[in-house]
Amino acid sequence: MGTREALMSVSLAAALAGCGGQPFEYHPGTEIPKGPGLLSGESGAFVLYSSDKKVKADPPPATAQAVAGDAAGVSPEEFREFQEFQEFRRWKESAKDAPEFREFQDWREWKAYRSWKEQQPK
Amino acid sequence: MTKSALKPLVLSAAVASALAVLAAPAYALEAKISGQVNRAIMHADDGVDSEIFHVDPDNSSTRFRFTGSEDIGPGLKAGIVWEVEDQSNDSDKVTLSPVVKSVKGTTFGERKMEVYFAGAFGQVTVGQGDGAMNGGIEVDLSGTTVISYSGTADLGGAIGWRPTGGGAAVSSLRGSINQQDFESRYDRLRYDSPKLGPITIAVSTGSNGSGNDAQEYGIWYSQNLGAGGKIAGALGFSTSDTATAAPNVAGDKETTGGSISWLHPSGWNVTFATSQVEDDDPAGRKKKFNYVKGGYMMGKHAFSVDFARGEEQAAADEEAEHFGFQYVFVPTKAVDLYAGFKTVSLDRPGADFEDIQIITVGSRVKF
Repeated sequence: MGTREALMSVSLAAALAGCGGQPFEYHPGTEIPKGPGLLSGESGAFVLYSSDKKVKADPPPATAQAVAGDAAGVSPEEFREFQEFQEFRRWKESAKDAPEFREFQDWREWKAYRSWKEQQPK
Repeated sequence: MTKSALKPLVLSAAVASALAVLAAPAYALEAKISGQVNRAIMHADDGVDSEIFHVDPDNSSTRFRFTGSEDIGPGLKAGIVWEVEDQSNDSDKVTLSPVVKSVKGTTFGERKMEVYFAGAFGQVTVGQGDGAMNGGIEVDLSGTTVISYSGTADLGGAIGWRPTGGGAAVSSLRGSINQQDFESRYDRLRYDSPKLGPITIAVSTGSNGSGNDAQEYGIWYSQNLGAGGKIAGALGFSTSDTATAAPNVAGDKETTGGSISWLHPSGWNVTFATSQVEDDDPAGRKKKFNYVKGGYMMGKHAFSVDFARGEEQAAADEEAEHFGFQYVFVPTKAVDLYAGFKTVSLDRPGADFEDIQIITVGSRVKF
């Protein structure tokens, strides 16, 4: 079989195989392998610089919820609530000695006192 | 499309991409370094002499790579790739006659020094790097390419053929059985189309390693068929000037070829590759190459058997054949342990040669 005939056969086979299926990214085995490295870890490369952390800290809300929700099987509403909880924790850490935080602690103690009082026999 | 029409079209696309970038605000920026070390012990026997060599296998040489990319606009990315290799005793440069075990380079071997712009329009790349069809004869899903693929001459390629009646070695293994993988890497302008389903179209134009004008055109294909397994392949054409000085009887060198590989979910796989090189010289030969590999992957293990034939590559009516079998063990994604055996024979009218046999054991580690 000549080269051209062989190539036509190859092409026909590929065309027929193209019916259905998903693309995938072919990576030659002679290139640096994809995936983790012995020293570089999971990323497979030593990151010299990345501005990605800053970008990821302030993602568009919709994108973050969609991605995180899809990844963890959590609904967007639940993830929004989780973000609010994270914001609360940041505030709590930064406002430890602030009057507002003391007032918040007093409010929590009052709620616990009220709950206890309601459970006391009359 | 003629060569003269292709050059301005590709150049215009590159300039348009660069201008579109200028006013865009900067977004995410990232810079990385990665690489690998590949070392092997190779026993070669040319039928008269034998030696053990400590080599850096040319299949996948020791190298490191610096990459950087930045999102420079909505859906637009610019980046660089700077990749160099540093081989101590290149496996296709050591020889048996005379015995040359130590082949040390004094500088890094340039592989890629390129900039690219990528977006919905595809990707435009300029600089030293892969021609549009580099690797088009080498598509392989077997998992054993680190020890053997269509580039069968990467191990022991410089070893010469020993006449059976005695005498000095003549020509080389690579001269008679070379996969003829288009123009390899060179200074070029390259355009890759966006994915058209499972297909990408690539074209490039530039100045090859010999300083001659070269153009490449081709199609790359890769598809996951689910229960049908994975298929990848390439098909293309390249043309390059054979010389710059007149008279040039050989004119243009043209390479046509491709490869296809299929990996079934069971682990069984098969690979085919073929190429043909010819020029304008009426007295010139059509240099042919054909390759077939059958393999099996099971968890972290991969086995394969391959066969290759080179026809009329170094002399008229000659035929060189390669037969080999290989094993690769991948304990972690960063480490390959491999072993392989191959025997290569040459049949040339009016001459008999000893077979060349090579056993190789080694490891490639990505750092």
